[in-house]
Amino acid sequence: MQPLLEVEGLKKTYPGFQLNGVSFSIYEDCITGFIGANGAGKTTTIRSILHLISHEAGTIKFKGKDISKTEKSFKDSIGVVFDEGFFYDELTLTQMKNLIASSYSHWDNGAYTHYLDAFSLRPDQTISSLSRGMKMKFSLALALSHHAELLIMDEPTSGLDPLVRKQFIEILKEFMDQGGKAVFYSTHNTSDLDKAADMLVMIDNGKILFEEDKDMLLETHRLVKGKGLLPAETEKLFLKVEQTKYGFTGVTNQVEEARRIFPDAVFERVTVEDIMLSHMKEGEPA
Amino acid sequence: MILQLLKKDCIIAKNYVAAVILIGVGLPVLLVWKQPQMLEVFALPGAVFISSVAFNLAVSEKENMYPKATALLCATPYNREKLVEEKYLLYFLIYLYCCVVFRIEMQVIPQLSAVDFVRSVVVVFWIQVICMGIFLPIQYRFGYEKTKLLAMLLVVAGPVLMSVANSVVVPATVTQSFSAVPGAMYIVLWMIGGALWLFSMFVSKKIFSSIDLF
Repeated sequence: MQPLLEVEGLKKTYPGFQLNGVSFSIYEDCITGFIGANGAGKTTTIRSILHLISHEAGTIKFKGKDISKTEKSFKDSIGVVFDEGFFYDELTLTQMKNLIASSYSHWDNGAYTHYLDAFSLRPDQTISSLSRGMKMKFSLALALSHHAELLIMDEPTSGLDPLVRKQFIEILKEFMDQGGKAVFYSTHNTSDLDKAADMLVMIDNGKILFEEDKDMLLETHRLVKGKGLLPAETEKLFLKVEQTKYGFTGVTNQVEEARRIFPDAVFERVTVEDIMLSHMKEGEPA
Repeated sequence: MILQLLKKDCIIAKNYVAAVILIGVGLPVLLVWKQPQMLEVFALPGAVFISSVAFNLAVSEKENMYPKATALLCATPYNREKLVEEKYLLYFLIYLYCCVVFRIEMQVIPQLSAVDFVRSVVVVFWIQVICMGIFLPIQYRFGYEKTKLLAMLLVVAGPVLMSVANSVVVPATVTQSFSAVPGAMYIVLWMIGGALWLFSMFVSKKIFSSIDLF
């Protein structure tokens, strides 16, 4: 797999928060989920990649080239979807499209019309008349209509109903089927990633906790449910464990050892959310 | 590319486009009718100045309402420099529009023909360069909210500035050195103003390129 985007040692300091040497890669033909709690640094990382904010240290390379030197061609090769439609409410869809389209060198009006039809959006509608879901669809139509190689999305499905989210995942899969593409998708709503992601990058408190193949992560982690009190010396087997008066529930990445110690416990497959929550420190918002 | 940005500004502040068109056409006519003695000082300078500041306030207010839209534009191949260039072009076009309309009105309203058009065009350009050329970098640095008051001050100070600009007399030694070529002095003054306008744009680009968006 070829890395399409490489982030190395990214640092950005705000009062009370720091991105601390963030490094990860986004690979071709992969949907990479960027997970973490609210305030973990997902949006700051994405804003830094897009050069919407400055960063104190670190390099970002797209296809091996430093994007600070090739910003225009980098932005010409990516599609961007934000959590809310970042649009001017007064404009119609066509006016907003004309504004955005004129900046790209490979704008495809046919593709744009196809997506507008698929999403049941009317070009003469004003943006103020669109619902949140429709704005996201419009945003996606704009991001997909210039033959982007990489889609960068910041919380695109937050606040959307399950049907729209399902459509969204289908569109992403369609996009990936073209080959040579990649998606970088930040979210704290991890159920979409269970279905769509190939890779997961987790950030917590400004630091990358892991960058792994999703299926591998799901295979190496198990939700363990046991009866009775958990012996204190076995707590280290768990990334996170909760004790109730009836028993304990915890996530472990030492599955064989846990099976040996708790032969009567129930071992269940984990979800992306279980993994995310188990790596977060106590007291952090989910 | 830049035309689409201009179009966007005109759409988001569409009521003010009508106002700019009306001010450009109407202010000289109004002065002919009510205050003919103020034609030289206020007709063209007033039209350019009021239109520019009013349009700036309208567009900036809207952009302040949608800061994420500016961020989206900067996430596309529009670079930040292009966004700044568009704003400077916009105010230059307002200046040009008012000059052209004034010139046309001079042909049909006899009272306006008393105004020295070439001199007015240069004086107005300098007013635009001094006011907007200083104000825009400050606005890029501190944002709409913090500079709103400054814009209001500018509106209040405008008539004084116009009056002062109109009373400026070019020293005889300077005019003599340009006497061989009629109009050369105005061309040189206009070009110096143009260079200052470009310098202001350069400063604004520098400031805007270092601002964190949304």
